[in-house]
Amino acid sequence: MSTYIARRLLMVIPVMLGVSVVVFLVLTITGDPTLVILGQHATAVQQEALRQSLGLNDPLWTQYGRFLWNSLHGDLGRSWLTETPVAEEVLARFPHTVELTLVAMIIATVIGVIVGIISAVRQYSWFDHMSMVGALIGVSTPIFWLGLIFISIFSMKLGWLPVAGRVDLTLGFEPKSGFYIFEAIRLHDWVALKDLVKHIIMPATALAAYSMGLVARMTRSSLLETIRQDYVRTARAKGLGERVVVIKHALKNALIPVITVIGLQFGYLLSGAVLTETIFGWPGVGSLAVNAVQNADMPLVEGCVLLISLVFVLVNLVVDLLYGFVDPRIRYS
Amino acid sequence: MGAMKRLIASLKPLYAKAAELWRPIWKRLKRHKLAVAGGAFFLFLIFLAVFAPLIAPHGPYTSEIEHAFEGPTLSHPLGTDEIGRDVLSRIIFGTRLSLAVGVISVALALVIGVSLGAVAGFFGGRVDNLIMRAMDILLAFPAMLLAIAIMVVLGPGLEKAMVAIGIVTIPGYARIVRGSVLSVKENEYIEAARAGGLPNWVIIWRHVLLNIMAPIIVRSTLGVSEAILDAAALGFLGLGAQAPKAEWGLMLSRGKAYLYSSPHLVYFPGIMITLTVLSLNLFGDGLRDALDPRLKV
Repeated sequence: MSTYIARRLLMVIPVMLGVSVVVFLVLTITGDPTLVILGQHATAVQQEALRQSLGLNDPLWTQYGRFLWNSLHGDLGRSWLTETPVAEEVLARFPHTVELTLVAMIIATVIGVIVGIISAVRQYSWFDHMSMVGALIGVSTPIFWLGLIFISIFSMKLGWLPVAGRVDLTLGFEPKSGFYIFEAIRLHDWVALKDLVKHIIMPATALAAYSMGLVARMTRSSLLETIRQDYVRTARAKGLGERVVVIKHALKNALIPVITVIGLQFGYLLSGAVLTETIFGWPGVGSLAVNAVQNADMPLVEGCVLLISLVFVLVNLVVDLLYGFVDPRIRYS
Repeated sequence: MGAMKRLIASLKPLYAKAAELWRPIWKRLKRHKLAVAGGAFFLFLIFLAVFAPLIAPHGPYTSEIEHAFEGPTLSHPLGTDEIGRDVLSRIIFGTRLSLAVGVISVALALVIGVSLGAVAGFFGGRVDNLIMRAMDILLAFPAMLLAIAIMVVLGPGLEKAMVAIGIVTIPGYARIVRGSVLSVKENEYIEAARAGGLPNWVIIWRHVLLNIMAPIIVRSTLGVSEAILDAAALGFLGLGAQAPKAEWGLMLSRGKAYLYSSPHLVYFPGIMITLTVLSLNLFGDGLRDALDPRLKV
């Protein structure tokens, strides 16, 4: 097992190299940045000078080598528009995305698994029918539409929640890091915390809806499948109580596919954050990336993609390791 | 000519066998009311897409600027948009675009993803490592981000969105198929087939893939709905279908500026996306139950 962990850790390196190649190629293929940087009225001479200074006339592999070397040193270049260092800008935005994603993940996992278990145990009950219809609507609704509907109902019609943003600026809440909720708890600033929750609840729920539905459906179907297996029948035949049978015997095996789904959901949530953040004016990496794409600010696009991908790869790693831990039958050869 | 006849004759028992295999599945599927409803709605959507010009009360691009921003009326049952185009007609024409995106991008991902996953899971070792690490590189990007990055390279457009969504979803199929193959291939009957000296591709095709058909079919039905969602998201971000196309995501994105004054511009296209995706999900769910009778009590 420990050699497997070590090997799996080492495999992160080639994957990230692959990612960097893809990102680099995307950046290079998209063409000549000089017009974006200099504006439409640049002369050919100015363009050529800039191309020279950016190193765009070097052969591709030289450019990639430089890109890789700089990236490894934490230098992701400067934004073409604002000229601020990309790494600085992306890292400043990152905690906001993490907090949004984590809250959504918790909502999705906790509610999804519980609803899935109850539905499976009480198959074909009214709870089962209602929650599965709810789960189906959850996985069927476009995240951006759900967000807009939330805003239309809870902000515009009812006036309960703020339309967009991270925190009410008039509160004078000035945390040291971007993990606002964490900071508010650490500083015992309950007024700010309440406001933060009000701001995060709509985007996080909209973001979680799909994963919640998927986790609930997956838990239900996987548990139903497990419950019908021989060893569960044996457990029942031994005279064990239904609760023990489900929780101790069936659930453990049933949750294996669910864990994979939850792990894959992390990427979905990070993807969804791109849309959610755009709609709710959330100051995270997602909205930064969309703005960068719209402005054709390639170094910034590349920085966002690289960072999010790195995080995602590490989460995948953890999921893979957990997979082997919960299902010892899986052979790692 | 004779060869053709012989070919047809040799296929006949195969058809009969397939019909025999599918009959009980179809019977079980018919009993699943929600699945039938989902399937029926999806057929209705196909009908809408095919006969859109005959059904739609107005043209998708016909603009009556004096009727802009009207709520639902008799002549415009779902209201009009910011330049007075009929929302209902645009939604009906939009079915064509969404269905095309769903089916084409899934077909693309399915062919590549299933082959890669089956080969990786069955052979294991170096092949598995190579394929799955390549998939890992694709999976290392959150789907929407990768789709956006591909769209940045390809340029905006609906056809390009199909390709982008197809590429992005390949690893999902590969992973699921590989996982199922891994669990199936430990079974005794695979060992028996091996011991019987069957060539690998026969074992993969007949004994492995046919046994994991259920998750693949269910996955692709859900895949179509996901592709429709993704295409709408790209359209919403301005990277997919371009104005003035009647694409649902694009309509939403244009409508969001008037969310406060004319919410119907956001409500109706979204409801249509949800219903389409929901119908596919219901159908896929029923299909899953029908394909795997062990789950039925």
